[in-house]
Amino acid sequence: MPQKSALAILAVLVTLMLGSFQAMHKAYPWPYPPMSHLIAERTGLQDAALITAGFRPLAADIAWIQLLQYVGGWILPGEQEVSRYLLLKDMTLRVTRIDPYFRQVYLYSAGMLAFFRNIDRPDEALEVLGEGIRTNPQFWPLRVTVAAIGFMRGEEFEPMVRLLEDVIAHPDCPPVTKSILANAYKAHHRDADARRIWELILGDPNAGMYHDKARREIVEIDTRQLLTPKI
Amino acid sequence: MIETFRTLIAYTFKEHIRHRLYLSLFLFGFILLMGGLVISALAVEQRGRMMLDLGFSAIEFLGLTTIVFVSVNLVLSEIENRTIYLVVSRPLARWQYIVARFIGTTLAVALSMAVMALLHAVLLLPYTGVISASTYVMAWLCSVAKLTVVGSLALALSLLTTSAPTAMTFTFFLWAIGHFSQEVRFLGEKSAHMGVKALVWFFYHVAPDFSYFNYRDFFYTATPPTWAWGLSLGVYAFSYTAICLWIASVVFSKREF
Repeated sequence: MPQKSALAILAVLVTLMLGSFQAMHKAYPWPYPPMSHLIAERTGLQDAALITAGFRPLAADIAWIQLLQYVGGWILPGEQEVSRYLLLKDMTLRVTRIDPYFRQVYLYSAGMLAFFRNIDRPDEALEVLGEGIRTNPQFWPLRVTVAAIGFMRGEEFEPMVRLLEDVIAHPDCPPVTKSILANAYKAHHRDADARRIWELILGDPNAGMYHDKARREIVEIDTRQLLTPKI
Repeated sequence: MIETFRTLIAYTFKEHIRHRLYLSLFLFGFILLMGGLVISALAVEQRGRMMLDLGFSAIEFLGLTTIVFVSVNLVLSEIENRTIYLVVSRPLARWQYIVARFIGTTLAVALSMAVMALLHAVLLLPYTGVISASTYVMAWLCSVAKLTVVGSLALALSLLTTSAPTAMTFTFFLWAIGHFSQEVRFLGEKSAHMGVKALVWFFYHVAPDFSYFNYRDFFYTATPPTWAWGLSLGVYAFSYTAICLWIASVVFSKREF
């Protein structure tokens, strides 16, 4: 090929490459936060390495598994007290800073932080939800959970459960929120409602971990109703 | 001439699919995908998502390993074995030889990725609602486009450096830089020094932007990319690959056998 035409082809290709590069970035602005936003204290190298290798969702999935392991009793180095899950907020934000669109994680941890009696840190729950709302403004269960936490703090049971009923109707709602609602009904002696939610959990194939508990709770409710003398 | 070109593509394709490395990586891919069934159980309620991400990552990682090893040795091994003399004595332009060999290699890698994707899709069947068929195909196509760019880079680097280990190292380095491009841009924006800004601008535009090929990262976002993004990505992948092949052809043409 003559040198002149080869150079002309190269010039066309470089122009095409630079033009399409600009067009690509203009058509779709980068949707993820910079790496400086990562929670890098304990697992920064693992997360950064996976992101740099091009496996961002996988990095978030592994961080999610590590969050579940933590909740399941895995004690982190340097941590003394596991029962209050002091690192729950940080571990949640670690997952969501890698993938801010992993929406279920916000609901999962906010539910635990706000509604679990042994944790009871609604401020941290609101912080987690606030970050979720900023990146997922259209995902309404996050806003509804914020309102439910507000009612819980004001000890207004009725409006709180009404809002949580809305949240659990969303297909992306984690089973932990359903179990929180069922337990709230149980605490207020509303057995029929609690039974309805446990049945809902039993019918959810993603809630396998809660199925045994749901069966036990249903049996307990049924036994209680049998033993209660009818007036 | 077209007949010779087609024969060379078919020869390269068959050469790769009969290669021991290709077959062992293929087997490793199957094991990794099946292993995903076990590993994803740890994600509990997010098992479908984990299966999806792990499968995509496994397919791309194995495609990457195959295309880098194969592309780097594509011409170098022929030079070493002296079989290149048989080729250069034929009435075929050197750029045609490079392009035909590259197309054959890309087709072989795309085939292995297609078979793995098929198995992955079957494994995902019980997890309805995790991903739609069209989104899956789009994510797979973007992955193939990304590896096509990587393959052309590896080929150009192998001819520029004439050393397989050096070319592989540079290719993997560029793979990492390519996924780091947004951070590079961010660093440039933060810097007040004009020299640093200029250097960052150069790297940002010249190094391939692999992060934009990850459609699998984008479908989780609030607003997935539009067709305009897909079109510009296609042009970008084509032009970047063509530039690398242009460089490889020029270097190969200047070599004396």
